[in-house]
Amino acid sequence: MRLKIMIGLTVVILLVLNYSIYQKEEIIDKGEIVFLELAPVDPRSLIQGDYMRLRYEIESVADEANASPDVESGYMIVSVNEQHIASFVRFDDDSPLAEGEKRLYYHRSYNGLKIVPDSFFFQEGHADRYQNAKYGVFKFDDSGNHILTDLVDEPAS
Amino acid sequence: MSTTDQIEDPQRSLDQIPATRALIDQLYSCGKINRQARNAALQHLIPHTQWGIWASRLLLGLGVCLVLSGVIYFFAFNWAKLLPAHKLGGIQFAIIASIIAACVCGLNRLSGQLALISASVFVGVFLAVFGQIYQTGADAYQLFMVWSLLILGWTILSRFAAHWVLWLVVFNVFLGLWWEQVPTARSWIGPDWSPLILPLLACFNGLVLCTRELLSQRSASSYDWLSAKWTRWIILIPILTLLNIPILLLIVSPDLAYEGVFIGSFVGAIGHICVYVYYRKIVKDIWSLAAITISALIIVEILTIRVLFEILMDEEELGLLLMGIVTIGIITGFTMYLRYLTRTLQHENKVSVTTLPAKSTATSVTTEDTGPSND
Repeated sequence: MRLKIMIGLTVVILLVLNYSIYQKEEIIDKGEIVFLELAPVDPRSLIQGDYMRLRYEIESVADEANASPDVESGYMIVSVNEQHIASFVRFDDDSPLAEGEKRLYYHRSYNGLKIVPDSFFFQEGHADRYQNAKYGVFKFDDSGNHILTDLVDEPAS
Repeated sequence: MSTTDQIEDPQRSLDQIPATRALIDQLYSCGKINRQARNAALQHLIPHTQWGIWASRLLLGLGVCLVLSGVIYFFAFNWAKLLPAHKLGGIQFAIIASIIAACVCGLNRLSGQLALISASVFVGVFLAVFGQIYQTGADAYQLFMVWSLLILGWTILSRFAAHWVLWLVVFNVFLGLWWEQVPTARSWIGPDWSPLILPLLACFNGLVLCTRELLSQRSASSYDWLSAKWTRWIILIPILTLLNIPILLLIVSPDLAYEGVFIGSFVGAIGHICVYVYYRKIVKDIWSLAAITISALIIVEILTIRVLFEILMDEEELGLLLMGIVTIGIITGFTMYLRYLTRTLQHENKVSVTTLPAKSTATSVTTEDTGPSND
């Protein structure tokens, strides 16, 4: 009986794990490419190797925008130009999105507005590949889910 | 555990005297039994095969640890050369292999249990790798949260103390990281409140310890795996540390102590008293009492040094001399108290042995086959 429950649990766990892979792969496959300008800094992660801590240019732009609503977290609207570089437009006010506009999730912390992921992981010792990076490469799906896939120096797709 | 002197009460009948190594040695040294009798008795009490079992268990445990850390290092070193599908597929293969091993060995055997623990560790490895491949963000609390949730079922099923230790570590790390990365980092609470996590963790682990004490006292054999005494200490010592730190913070820099530290110190003081009363009056356990006493000693020592430092700010040499003398005094005092406690507990246990023969710490050598081999 215990063995049966254990196998059942294993199946559930494997389903959860593989479904989360499927979700992410869907976004990478079908998502639209967007570049976010960076301002990086650099400590380390607990068990995942080296990582680069990221700040996005768009965070400070949005922070300075006057219409910033007094909420802990929400969506901002960014517009994406022909080179796929995103720029801040407004905070989400439920008005419909124009062509090339996307919703981007943010939350507030004591050092200002934040977009996740605020870090990029790479293998230990590979820091020099990323230290000059100027843009974070994102894949966006239609509902605003996004994945950071790479850091690049130039926004060439 | 059995090294303390045992001067047996002459009125007690033979079947009430617990057979221990110390007793046999005492009989031998008094000339009551000869060498063969001593050897035979020791062979009966501590069979020589126990050594082999102990060594093979130790090696099995070490081997599992080394293989698992080898797997982790392999991934860490070859990170950039591996494709995402290789990484995630490989780890899932390891999970399945561990579960198959657990099925083959059965969950009632140590090897099966260790295979299941490996599966739990691999789930954590999978989540770390997943987070790295898909850059899910540095909020590491999510990793530990999902990890503890996913392996909770296996942990409950395992009925194995080491598996629970793994789960508790993962869950405590989750709580600690969550506190730092969500309420503190998103300024739901001020930075003054961040030490409050220490008493909160102490309370959570206190609940776990209560559950452990309640379940292990049940006579039902399904909780036998909890009766080993190390399962108590491995929870109690972190709790004492968590209770201790806010008090030390308060003593060392009262000017910098805000709400979190005050509440922590309050909970710390209450917590120390509670565990002391419990292990002194209800469950008599000298090892737990020793841990509590050491924790109290650290607090008293730091407090004294702090007071001396304040009074003798200008006279450094005198201050250092006095600190040394006072430290010797405090440690002597606590040691004498511990000796007194040991004697009192032994006495109380002897009294209870006459009414309830099986419930004695001195019999632990004979009754606790599953007990700690690392005394």
